[in-house]
Amino acid sequence: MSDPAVSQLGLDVDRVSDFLLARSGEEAKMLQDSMVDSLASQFPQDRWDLIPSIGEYGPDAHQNLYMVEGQRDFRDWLQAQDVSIQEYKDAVGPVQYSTVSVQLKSLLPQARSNRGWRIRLIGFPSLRTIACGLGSHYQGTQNHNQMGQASALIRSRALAVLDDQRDALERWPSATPAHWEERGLMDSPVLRIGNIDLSSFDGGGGAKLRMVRNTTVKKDLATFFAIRGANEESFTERGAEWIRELHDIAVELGSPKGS
Amino acid sequence: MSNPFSDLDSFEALRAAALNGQDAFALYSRREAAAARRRVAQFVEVRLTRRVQRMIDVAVASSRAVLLVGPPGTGKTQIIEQLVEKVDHDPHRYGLASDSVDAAWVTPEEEWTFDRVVLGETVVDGELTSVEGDLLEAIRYNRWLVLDETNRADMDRVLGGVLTWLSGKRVRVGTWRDEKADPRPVFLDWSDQPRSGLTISDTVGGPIVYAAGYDWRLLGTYNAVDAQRVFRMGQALSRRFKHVPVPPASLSDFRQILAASVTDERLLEALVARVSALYGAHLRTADAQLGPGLFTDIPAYIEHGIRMNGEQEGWDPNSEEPVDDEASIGPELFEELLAEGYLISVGNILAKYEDYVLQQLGEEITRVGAVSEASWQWIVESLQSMRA
Repeated sequence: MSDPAVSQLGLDVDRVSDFLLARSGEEAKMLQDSMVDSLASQFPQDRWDLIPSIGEYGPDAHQNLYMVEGQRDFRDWLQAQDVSIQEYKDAVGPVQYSTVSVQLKSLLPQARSNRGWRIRLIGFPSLRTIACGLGSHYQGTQNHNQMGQASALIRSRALAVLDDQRDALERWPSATPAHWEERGLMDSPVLRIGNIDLSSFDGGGGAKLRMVRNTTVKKDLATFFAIRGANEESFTERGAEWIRELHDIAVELGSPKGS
Repeated sequence: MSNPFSDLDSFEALRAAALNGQDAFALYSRREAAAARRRVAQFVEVRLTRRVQRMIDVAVASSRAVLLVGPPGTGKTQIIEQLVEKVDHDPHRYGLASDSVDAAWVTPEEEWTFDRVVLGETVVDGELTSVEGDLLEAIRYNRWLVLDETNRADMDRVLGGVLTWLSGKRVRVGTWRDEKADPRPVFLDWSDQPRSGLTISDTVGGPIVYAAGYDWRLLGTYNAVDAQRVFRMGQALSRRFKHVPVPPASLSDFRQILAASVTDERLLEALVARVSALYGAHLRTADAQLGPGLFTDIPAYIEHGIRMNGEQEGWDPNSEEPVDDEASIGPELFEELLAEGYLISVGNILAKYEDYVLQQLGEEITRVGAVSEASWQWIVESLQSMRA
């Protein structure tokens, strides 16, 4: 199922993670073209659309993270460490996430984010964590739990459709609350957010995604019917393999049965 | 299995069903599976053998009049519908000069005569006035004429007067009368142009000529079983047509066709096994071959019957559990419904069988266990009232 037009050597996964984990909007914009060039070696642009996007926090977002999303135990811990809202804001940084959507031109002749499905890579700079997988969209979704259950059903259908890549998709679960709330995207405890050392929080369990993401991201992640996450180092090691795997799954899923 | 991920609209339908929860998704999946089976069935239903397909194509390309002959339920009408569509799409492949093809469809009736099809008369304001029949009208409007189920009418009587024309010669079919003009002779003829049409002489009392172009065709379906019991076509008319045999679908094709008729997937296996056994018994019995079309309603009868009566037998129609065999929904109920579904779908034809054919068929049906001996006996007894 591998695309013969693709160079297996051209994908520089560091250029991808550099963009996804850039700490500022300016830095991300500067790295964007390099990331697209690198991914284009795996996803030729005559066949795929590569759409980057940088999500910076809104004005009150950090306060909301501190007071609401992070939950009482984390807020208590921050306060016990004398970490103010402003200090937390500085530690988290201005970029909530950076993402790139990779979609088959045959499926979406003109890119639209509220139709169809696509390969998604999404980085959370403050957590040095990257999620990748296959996602749909949250148009018309009442809440993330409803979307998450739908994603599980969508994945079940994808498994039934696939032949060659079925085993590959088996390794990619659909998103659950662990992915959009807790630590499901981290393959080892994330013990720092910026300059804040989290070693003493929650028995060393590390950061949870809810500490740095808003509710839109929660819904967005719930649309993933195939998802895996990795810390920066793990992604450097395995990201290229994962991206190729997603490429091959997407190619088979995007092909009419029997063609 | 179809792939909703390869098409945006299909994917959005999948996603919408998934968003509505497990039950809605299960319903969507069942409907989609049924739709997929129907797509396969549509393909299989008209999947002709290579030689039959070639005979049809070449016969239509080379002959003015073509009949598809086969047992009931073999899809002859559907084949002609698709044929006309194919020819219209690419007339030059069939050697036609026209850029398009249109067809008028008529289903003969027992009381039909020459007047109805060729040239008849009626009374308008107390005056005798001529009326075009279907044949003349089709020629006037440059349409092919399709006679569906020709043996429903006595075609020797209907077309006897145009036998000579069908063999390529001009023939007078009568006189055109109306209250405003002198009578005119009416001729059927063949044109040296591709288009068909009507010419009326300028002279008083001059002829009206309906000329079929060389692209014009007369097509028909002929039911090989009913032909022995309703109207047979005499040799003189019969030899004016090319006859293309359309055999019944193979047993394996039938299974695919039948699967499309089953809406409750839990019953799929049991229904396909039992109804296919009936179809197979017909296939193997000389003079009892029937096409799939007569059997494809049987699953619907059984499914409705199970829903309406099955709950009394303790079967839960809302259960998601598969039905491994008919035993799990009550063997007596299933057997009775199968026999009833078969009787109401095929009984009118069974009732016309010669005794020896019915006997051989019954032996084959009970030998393979398609229905029990008791059920077969009940079917045979029930045929008595269908012969009345």
